[in-house]
Amino acid sequence: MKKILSIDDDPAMLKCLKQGLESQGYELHVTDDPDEGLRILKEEDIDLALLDVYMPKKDGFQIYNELRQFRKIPVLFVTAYPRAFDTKSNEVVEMWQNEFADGTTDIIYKPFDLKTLLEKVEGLIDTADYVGDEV
Amino acid sequence: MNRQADLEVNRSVRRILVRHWIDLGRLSIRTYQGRLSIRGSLQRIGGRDEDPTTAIVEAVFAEVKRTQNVQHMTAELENWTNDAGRWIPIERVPLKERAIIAFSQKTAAAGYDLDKELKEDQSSEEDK
Repeated sequence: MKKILSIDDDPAMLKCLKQGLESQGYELHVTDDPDEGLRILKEEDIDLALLDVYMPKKDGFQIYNELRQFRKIPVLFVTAYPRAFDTKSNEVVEMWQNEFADGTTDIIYKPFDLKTLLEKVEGLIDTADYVGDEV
Repeated sequence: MNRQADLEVNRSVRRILVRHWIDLGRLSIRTYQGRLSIRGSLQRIGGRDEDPTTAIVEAVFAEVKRTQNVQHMTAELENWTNDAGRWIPIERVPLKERAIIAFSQKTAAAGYDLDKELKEDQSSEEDK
């Protein structure tokens, strides 16, 4: 069974993701704590990470950059704010050019339907199998 | 065509879109047995406010079509349409034509070849 980790501070979103993805046979781990999420990503065999962008303790971009220091698993950013990816921010430009460019990262905007979520997840989840998920 | 080849297509398409600063969040990419489907809205990410020009859209899809293992591609876009090989921003296409193009795209995606069926109908009418 493929394992997905969602790091999001919105309990309603976590509940919704859990119901939707588990109904399709995925094993979903959830946490609202970015550091706990990074620990899970380090220690467990997770196949895909769903990252909220705006969180109070640590934002999704910081988590992404820390994750990329030790693992190259596929990442799906989940956000209600398309402007989060505004390229006026140097951080976004660097991420876009250095990390997104390898094709193992995607974005989904809230609100979304289950069909769109599943298309994104299915299109990403096994990418690590052939790119090699260790950095 | 195996699943890994399909996933490699998805990944290559994402790479192309990223290189052209296309917003991945507004598109859904699926490949099944070499048949690639792209749907949604073709827009650039924030801060690159200029809409993609026809030249950019043509360049993007030319690259996508050349991607290894892509045997067939359909693009159902909310803001661009393909008319006889030319990409046109959808607001410039009259409403009636938009409906016809959208219908043709759906039937093509479902595996029907409307032109072929129309020709067959015409020839069977002529035979009568």
